[in-house]
Amino acid sequence: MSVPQPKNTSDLGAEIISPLIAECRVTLPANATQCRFSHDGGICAVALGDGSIALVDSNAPEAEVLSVRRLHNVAAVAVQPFAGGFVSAGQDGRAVLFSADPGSEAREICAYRDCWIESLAVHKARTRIAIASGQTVAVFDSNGKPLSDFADAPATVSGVAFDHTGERIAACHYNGVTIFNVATGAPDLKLEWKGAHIGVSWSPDGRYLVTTTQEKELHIWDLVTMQDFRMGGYPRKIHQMDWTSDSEMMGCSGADVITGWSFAGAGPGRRPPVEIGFVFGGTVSAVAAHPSRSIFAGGYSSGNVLIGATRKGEALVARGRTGTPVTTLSWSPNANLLAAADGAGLLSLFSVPDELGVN
Amino acid sequence: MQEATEGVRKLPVTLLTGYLGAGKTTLLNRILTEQHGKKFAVVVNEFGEEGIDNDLVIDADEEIFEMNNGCICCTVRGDLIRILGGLMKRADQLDGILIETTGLADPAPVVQTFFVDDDLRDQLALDAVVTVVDAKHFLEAVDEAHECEEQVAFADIVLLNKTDLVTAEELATVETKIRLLNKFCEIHHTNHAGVDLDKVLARGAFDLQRLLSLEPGFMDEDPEDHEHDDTITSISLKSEKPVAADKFSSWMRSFIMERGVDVLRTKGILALDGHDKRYVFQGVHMVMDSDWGAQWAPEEPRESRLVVIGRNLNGGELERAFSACLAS
Repeated sequence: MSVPQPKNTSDLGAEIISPLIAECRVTLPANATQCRFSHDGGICAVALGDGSIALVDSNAPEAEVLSVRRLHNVAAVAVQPFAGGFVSAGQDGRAVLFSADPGSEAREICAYRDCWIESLAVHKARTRIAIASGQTVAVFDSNGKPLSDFADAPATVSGVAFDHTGERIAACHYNGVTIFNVATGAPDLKLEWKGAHIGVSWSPDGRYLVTTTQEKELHIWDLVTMQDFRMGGYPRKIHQMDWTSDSEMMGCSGADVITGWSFAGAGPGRRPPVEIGFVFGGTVSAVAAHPSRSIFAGGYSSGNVLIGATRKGEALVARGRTGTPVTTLSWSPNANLLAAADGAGLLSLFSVPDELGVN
Repeated sequence: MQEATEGVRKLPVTLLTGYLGAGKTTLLNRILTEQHGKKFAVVVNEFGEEGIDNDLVIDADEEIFEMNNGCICCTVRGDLIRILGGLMKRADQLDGILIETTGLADPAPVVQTFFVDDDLRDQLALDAVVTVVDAKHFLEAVDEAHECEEQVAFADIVLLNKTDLVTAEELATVETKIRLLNKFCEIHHTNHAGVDLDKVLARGAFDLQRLLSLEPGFMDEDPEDHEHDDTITSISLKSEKPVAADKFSSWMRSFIMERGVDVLRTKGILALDGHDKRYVFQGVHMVMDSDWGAQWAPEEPRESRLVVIGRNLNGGELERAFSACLAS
C-alpha cells in the first residue's frame, strides 16, 4: 500500500479534511473515558475522569451540553445506553442507572467497597448489564436488580462481554477467559492462554471470542471448531476492538493504521489484515465499527479521526491533529453522527452523510 | 514515534517501603489527610485505617506476572499495570501516586513494571524509593531478617523515624549502619513521620538529570570499606581519569547480567573519554536507565563516581574492574 510521505515536518499538520464531514466541538469539564449515544441517537453521553457524566444534545446545531451530573466520586469509566436511559460505572465501585432528564434521580445498582468497577457490558435485546469488579462478575436486569453473581473467576477480571444471546458472559483475566452462564450461575467453559488478557470481545454471531493481551497480541478462539490462534506484531497494546454487524470484520487499535481482520469464510488465520487510515507518527487509540456498513472510524494518538471502508482501505479525514489522543469513539444508531472524545475533554460530533465516498 | 504524547506531564510515582511499625502508615495517613493541597492516590495491601477517603486508597492484590520481554524473562506486578492504568483515567485529578511495597522488600518487580509497559512509561515517572526506618528497632530487626537491610539498600530517601525514642548515640549508630548500606540515600530524622512532604514526594530521584545535583558527600569512599560476604554493602568507585565508553559499557553489561540479582541499586555520573557531557545512569537490579547530563565546564575537574549497592560485593574486585575501564 503506498502511503503519502510528508516531505518535511511542516507537512505533518497538513492533512486534507474531508469536505463531506461537518464537525462541531465542545469542551467538557474533564477527560473523557467513554462516549455513547442514547438508543434514539438524540443524546451523546460522555463519562468523565472527574466522576461526571456529560449529556450533549446531538440534534442541536452546535454541540450543546444539556447537563453534567456528578454521578461518581472518582473517575467514571463507562457509560452505555440502557433501558431508555443510561448506565454508568465508576472507580468508586458504583454503577448507576439514570435518564436524560437532569432533574430525575439516579439509581445506584451496586456499590463495591473493596474494588472499583473494571468493566461494564450491556446486552441491548435482553436488557442486561454485566459488571466486573475484582474477581466477581455480577449481572443485573432492566430494573437494575441483581440476576446472577459469579465470584469465582481465577483472577481479577479485566473485561466482560455478553454473547449474542445475552445468556453467557465472557470474563477475561490472567491466563485466560472464563465463560459464565447467566441462568445456571456457573462457568460453562474455561479457555486458557498464558499471560495477562486485558480486554475481551465477542463477534456479534457468537462464534469468535477475541482477547487483547499485555504482550501486545490478540488471542482468538473459534468456539465452533475450538481452535485458537494469536495475532501479534502490534507496536502497542490493543485497547479497543469492534466488529462490523455482520461479524465479518473486526477492527483494532494499537498500530498506525486500523487493522481489520476478516472473519468471513475460513477466518483470519491465513490472511493479512486490511489496513485502514494511516496517520504518520500516530497510533490508533480508539476504534468504532459503523452500525450497518463495512466501515470503521479510528481515533489516533495525534488526535486525528479517520473513517475508512474495509474493502478499499483508504480513509477520509474527519479531523486533523489536535495533539491529544482520542480515547473513545461512538457512532449514533442510524450512523448519521460520529462522536469522538479525548483526554483533554474535547468532544467532536461529526455529521456523516450517507454518501461518504468510501465503499 | 509518539508525537502526541510527548510533552505530556507525567505523574510521579513514589515507592514506599519499611518494616511493619516503622511509621509507614503514619506517613500515608499524613499524605492522605493533611491539608497540603495535593491529592495522592495510594496503592496498598489491606489498608485498614478508618476515616480515610476510600477512593484514594486502592487495594492491590500483588499479582506477579511473568512476562516474556523479548529474550528476557522478568516478573512484573500485573495488578499494578491494571491499577495504574486505571488511575490514569483520573490523572488530571491527581498530583502523584504512592505504592506501598511491603509484601516484598525488593521493589524490583515494581520498577520492572514501569520499564516494561509502554502505556505506563508514557504517563508515569518513577520518582523515588522511600524507606521508613524505626530508629529504636532497626538494629535488632537487621539481625533477624535480611529484608530490613534491603529496604534501606534500595532507598533514595530514608526517614529515620521515632527519633524521640532513642538517645543521640543510639541514633548515630543507626545512621552509621544505614550509611554502610547505602551511600547515596538522603536521610531525614523524624518522629511520627513528621517531615515536610516536599522532601519525600516529587523528588525526581529517578530523574537522571537530578542525579547531577547530588551533594558530593553522598558518594565519597568510606575509609572503612570492609568486605563482608552475604551482607549488603555500598561500594563507591571514583576516578579522576576519563572512562572509556566501550569498556565501561561492556563491563557493566556483563556485571549486571551475572550479578544482577545481587546488585540492588546503582547510580553514577561518569566523565567519558571523548565526550563533553556527563554520562548519568541509575539502576535497580538489571533495569538500567541512562542519559547524557550537563556539559562539563572548562575548568571543572572531570571526576567520575559511581555507587554499587548489593550483596556479596567485592570492593577490591570492583575497583580493579572499574580501573580497567579507564581510557588508556
